[in-house]
Amino acid sequence: MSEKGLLIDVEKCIACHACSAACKVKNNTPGEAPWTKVESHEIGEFPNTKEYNLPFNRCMHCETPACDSVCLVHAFQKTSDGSVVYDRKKCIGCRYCMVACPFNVPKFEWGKAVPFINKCNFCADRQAAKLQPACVSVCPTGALLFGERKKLLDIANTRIYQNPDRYVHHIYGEHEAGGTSLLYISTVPFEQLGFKAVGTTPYPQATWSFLSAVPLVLVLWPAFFGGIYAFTKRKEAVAQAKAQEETKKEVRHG
Amino acid sequence: MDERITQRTGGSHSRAKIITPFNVVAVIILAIGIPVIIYRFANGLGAATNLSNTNPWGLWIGFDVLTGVALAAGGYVLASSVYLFGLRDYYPVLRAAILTGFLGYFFVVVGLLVDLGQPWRLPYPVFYSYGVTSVLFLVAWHVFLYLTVQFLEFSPAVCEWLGWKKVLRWVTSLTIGVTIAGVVLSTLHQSALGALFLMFPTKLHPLWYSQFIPVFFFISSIIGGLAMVIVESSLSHSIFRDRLDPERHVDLGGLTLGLGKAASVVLFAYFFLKLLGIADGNHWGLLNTPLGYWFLVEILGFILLPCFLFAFGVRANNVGLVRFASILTVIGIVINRLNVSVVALNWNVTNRYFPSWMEIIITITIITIGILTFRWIVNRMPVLQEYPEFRGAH
Repeated sequence: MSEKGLLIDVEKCIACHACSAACKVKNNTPGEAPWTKVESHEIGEFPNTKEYNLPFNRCMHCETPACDSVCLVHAFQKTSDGSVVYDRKKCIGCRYCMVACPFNVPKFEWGKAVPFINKCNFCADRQAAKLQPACVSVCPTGALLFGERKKLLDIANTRIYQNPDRYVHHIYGEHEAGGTSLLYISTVPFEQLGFKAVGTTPYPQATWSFLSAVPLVLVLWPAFFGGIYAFTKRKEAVAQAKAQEETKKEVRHG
Repeated sequence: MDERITQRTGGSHSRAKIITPFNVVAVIILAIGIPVIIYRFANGLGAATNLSNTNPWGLWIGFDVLTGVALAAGGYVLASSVYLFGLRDYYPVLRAAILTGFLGYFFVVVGLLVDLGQPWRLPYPVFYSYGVTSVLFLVAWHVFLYLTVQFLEFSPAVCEWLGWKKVLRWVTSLTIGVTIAGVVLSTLHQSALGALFLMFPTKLHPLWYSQFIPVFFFISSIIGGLAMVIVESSLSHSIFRDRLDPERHVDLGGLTLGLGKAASVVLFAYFFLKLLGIADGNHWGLLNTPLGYWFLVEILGFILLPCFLFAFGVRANNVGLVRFASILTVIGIVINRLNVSVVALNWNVTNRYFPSWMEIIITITIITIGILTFRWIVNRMPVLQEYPEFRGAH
């Protein structure tokens, strides 16, 4: 299956909240941890302000997800269709994924005695049934567009090229954190809408050099300390032999 | 036989006094703390802590886990000094150091159980589901293996206590093997705890975020281990005076000076490594910011200052100064681990974290149970003294 993506055009969102309602119905998400939420930003100086709306703080479905790479029980998985899915049967609740996610996406059920992580799974079950994610299926303006990630990038670039003065010349998600399945285009600079500069390096790379040094330590350290011990043992044996010789000498002289 | 038992339990006089100031405080702490722990499990983390989606990690990860592991490093530092480097003079403080290490790790795991969402799933990474790309996976395995290793390292004392001579011979024959295993595992998981933070390039303040953070954590664990051995041995030798061997005089002052000398050298190296960390990212300008001042307090007041105090103390044969320097060093390790995991993490968000009173109480309760366990063991097993029949068997 080719990798799917979701293009979100901030300019087209009218803040009808249909996507978040559909998501809540479909996934039965807890109130304290919605998987998608529409945010409004008033930009400009009064009275010349304009409101911009966008479904924000939803899982970006990274190409190389930080949450997956840090999970010590492999509760996250990037599927071949692009979704990053979470398996609550494995989760131990350590919350490393929450700290590691550059977008602060995974949310915890703080109010529950047996809490789990909550985050969008890109309606992996609907995708498997060849359906669009619930949020996309109800969007009345086309602000959410579902399809192959490659084709969505072409569409996004086309919109920017055709309206070079309106759109910001940047597709947020094309390279962010090594690329994400979610892509945003906007007519106002992304940082004004609360988007973070997360860099373009895939996050798992941050620990690769450390992890690749582990086998080296596992092999070299025992050899090194074994060697030290061999020296120490020999030194002690020599010292003991010397002491014995000296006592012998003393006995002879005495 | 009766005589031996009396000697082992330390006689009846040591347990005659039950109402001591320490015991009264301990009982009060437990009387408040244990219900709070029950409350936390009944009502969830949200009810008991100030943790949030912005700050998912707090005091329990920063202090109970990170600081606990760093200060429990005395076990591997001293075991390798005595058995591998042949510094046999330090044998009299070795068992207490190994016990501190073992209990330290044990109560790190207890602290972790309180912090986890599904504590009953703690064995999952070892027995059920493997996230091999995670640094935390490495930590989980190593702490699990190292707890086993530390139990083996301490087991000679248990065997002597129980009089199991055959088992004792077997565990003693493993000494070198488990000591090497302990050093290898410690090197890796002490540095791995630092490597956890490599994943937060945008969230951790640049003065603390560094490619060298695994090295910082490893080197500072050696320092924390040495300082804790000095603090713990001076406390133990005055509190458990009746447990000391009257026939064998231990020159604790001399050993303290020796440990202080080592601590001074390692602190000096650590200080320059920290400077290298700033130079590597060229973050000198950030020193002139509020968090920069706090960073300077950490590296000048709690790394460079104790480094000099150790050096002066050793030169002047001033054991008291060396002990003061080790207390400063221990506080420095606490500050460093809390800085990395709490103060400098998410430094740029508006919703900053400060632990709730319940988080603090639970932390104090766990430490208290740890100290009580330490006392229980020291009052029974040959930790500070040797049994006559096993003398010289090491």
